Amino acid sequence: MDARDRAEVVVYYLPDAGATRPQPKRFTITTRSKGFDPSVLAIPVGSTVEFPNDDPIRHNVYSATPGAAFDLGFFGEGETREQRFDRAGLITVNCNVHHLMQATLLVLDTPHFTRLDAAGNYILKGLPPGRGKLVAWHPRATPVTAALSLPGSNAAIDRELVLIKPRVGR
Amino acid sequence: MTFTRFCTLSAAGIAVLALAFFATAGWQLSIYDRAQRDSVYAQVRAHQDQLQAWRSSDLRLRAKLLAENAAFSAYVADAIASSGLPGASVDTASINDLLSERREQLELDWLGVLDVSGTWIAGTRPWSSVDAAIANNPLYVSAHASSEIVHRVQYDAGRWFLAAIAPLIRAGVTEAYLLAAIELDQAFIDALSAGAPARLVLAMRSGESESSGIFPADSSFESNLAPVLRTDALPAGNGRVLLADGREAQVSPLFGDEGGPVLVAVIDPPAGSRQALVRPLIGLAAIVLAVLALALWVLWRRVFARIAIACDLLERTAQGDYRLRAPNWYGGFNGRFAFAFEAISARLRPPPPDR
Repeated sequence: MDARDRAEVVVYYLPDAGATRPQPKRFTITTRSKGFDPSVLAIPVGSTVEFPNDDPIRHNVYSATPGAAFDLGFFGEGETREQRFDRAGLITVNCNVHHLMQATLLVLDTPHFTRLDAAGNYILKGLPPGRGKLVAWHPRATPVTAALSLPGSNAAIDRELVLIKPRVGR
Repeated sequence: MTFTRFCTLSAAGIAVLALAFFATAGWQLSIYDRAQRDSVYAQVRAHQDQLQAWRSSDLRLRAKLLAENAAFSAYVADAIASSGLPGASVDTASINDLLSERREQLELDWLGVLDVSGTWIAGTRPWSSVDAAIANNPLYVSAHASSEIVHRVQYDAGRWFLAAIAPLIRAGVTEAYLLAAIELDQAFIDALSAGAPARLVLAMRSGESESSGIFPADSSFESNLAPVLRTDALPAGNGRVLLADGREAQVSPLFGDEGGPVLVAVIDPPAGSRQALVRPLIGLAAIVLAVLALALWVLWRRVFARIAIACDLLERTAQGDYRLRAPNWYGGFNGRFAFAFEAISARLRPPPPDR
């Protein structure tokens, strides 16, 4: 994986006993140069994403993901639409006329998630003790899951996850 | 009849016969030429119709694909409707950008959008006849009247397009019109020429530039524009016109707009087939004339020459020369004459003197 791919990896932890309800926040995905920026975003469930349009042309923002479909219509430069995401899951967002525009939203029902740094490292803090699953996710790779059993103390553990992006073509 | 007079009359007769023969042959040739040209013209038209049918079918398919895309129609309609907002104008930038993208994806040469009143909104290239009121353009008028996709050959700014106009419908209402076109370029002309036994030239009406600008200057089509037609009287169908180089040619307009250049097929009858017809005719004429001359020569030798001898014989006998003998003619009229003359001459001839 190159640096761009690494930047799109999300690592999250799901305690077997259930995670505490994450705090909803506001996020922004900007339509710029006929693309979504960022094109991959992990958000806690209940969060709202704003879609400002920085392009000099109109865009549409919609999703056809079952259970999370929405259509924010067309809006021009300087205008903003927003959408709240109340269900956890993977949501694909597109512009219905500019077919190369696509963003992927990972709506997580856990507050324990993070992104990789440039070197491919991650740190998750404040994880609850007990058993759980550690997942490394990338929009174009099969998720890698690792079972964890965390001690009760504030001990640090080191876990390596190997994520393989499928090769396309020859 | 003297020999000279006989020859003169014979020559005159042969000349009249030859004249009649060649006039008939020329008339038959002109009928043959016309039939050939009509046949070539029919071939050109059939080939052109087939080519255009293929292309227009392809064009209509792609235009419909785009026009019937709900998101595309809604996007265009929304961009046009934005002008209804106070202080807002039609969002041509958005439409232009989308049209450019779709033009590449659908491999079309020209995409444009007109509003319902026929006003040009945006496009990947301008419609140069904007000033000439698109609302009166036959293509637009036809699409507007039928609310269905229509197509025809459209000339614009030195280029020919096979253009289709399709309504952009949102919620059952026609919000705008989509123009989609593919250019009838050198490849099309090459394909047309390949299947058409005729030369294709650009007919310029007065006021048009000598160079069509349609094809690259070094293309075979452009270099064939030497006999560019300059006339206001191009025939509506198959007809003859004067070429710029002074030659007359049979031309058949293939397509073009009124007042603009017209692509025409200059139809030359196939040289080989005409020669194939003319050579046997000339050979036949030569044989007929030779046989006629031989017949006249035999007529002279067998009839007129002998009548002259007989007359000469009778005249000299009438002058008292009874020693004359008839020629050794046997059989037929000549033999009967010789026999009768010998009998008369024998009676008139004085007896030989006694020894």
